[in-house]
Amino acid sequence: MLIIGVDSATWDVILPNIDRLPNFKRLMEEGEYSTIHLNQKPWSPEVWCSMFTGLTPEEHGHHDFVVDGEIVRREDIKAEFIWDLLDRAGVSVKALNVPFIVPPYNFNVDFTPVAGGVPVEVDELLEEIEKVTEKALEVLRNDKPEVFIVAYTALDKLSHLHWGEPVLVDFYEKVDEAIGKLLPYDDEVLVISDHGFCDYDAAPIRTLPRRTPKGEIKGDHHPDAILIKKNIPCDITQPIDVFRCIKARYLGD
Amino acid sequence: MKKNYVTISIPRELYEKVAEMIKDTGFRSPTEFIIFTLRLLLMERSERKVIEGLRALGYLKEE
Repeated sequence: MLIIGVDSATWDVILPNIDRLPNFKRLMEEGEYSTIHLNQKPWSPEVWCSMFTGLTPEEHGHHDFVVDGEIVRREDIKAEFIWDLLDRAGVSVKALNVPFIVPPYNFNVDFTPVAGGVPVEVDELLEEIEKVTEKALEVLRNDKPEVFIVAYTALDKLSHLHWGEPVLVDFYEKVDEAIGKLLPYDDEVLVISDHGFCDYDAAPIRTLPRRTPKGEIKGDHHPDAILIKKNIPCDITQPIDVFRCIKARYLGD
Repeated sequence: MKKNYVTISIPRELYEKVAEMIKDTGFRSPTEFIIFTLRLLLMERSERKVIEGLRALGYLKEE
């Protein structure tokens, strides 16, 4: 099973530009796609953690990348992730660049994050897409784990500062291209985002400040996330269903 | 596991200052102290970059 996380991906960009996104398009045609209407705050550390622990934010207790001035580490989160369970059960599993913490988390993969794990500039974001894809291909070609989870964060970071600008669609194309390189390696594929994005003033939930030292924040997180699945017969309506789906598929319950 | 090391030259005067400074500190050698200090310096820089990046994106609220 190949799970590709695309932080902040939204149908509001994908659908109007679908002809520029051939790999999203093909996967949507070969599988099925829907919107996940989050019943939790559209906040990356919480949602990615929920997605791979099967726990609500109240249960896993992880709410922010930084707490009391300290960067939160994996060991600060008192919860087991799906890769922990799979690994213990002898199911080969790897995870790459999963952004519930910063730098993003890797399991059974040796990967040096781009720009310390928080790429901000356009060239750093491009490098992240390239480096993550390169490492993902290395894993898929050489190791072929039963379960491989890989995540791209560039669209989220770009959306914060460049929502509504043409460069954002250019980056959706880059992510589409990257996904296209990974798809041939598995017949069971899940592409999912942790939340969507929208104009700043249109956000139903405020998660970001209006300004930062970098300038104006152009958009904010939206509770509608994307889901595309191919040959995965699970019902996934919330992020925690991803954990349950993988667990049921490989651990039987 | 075999480790890879490289040799770095520093001024003898600096090395001797470090050797004097680490007496009774628990560091077994100037080399051990220098490696520790470099790792700390790099870790702090990377953490600073993380914090700056998160602040730029709006993940950290301004005071």
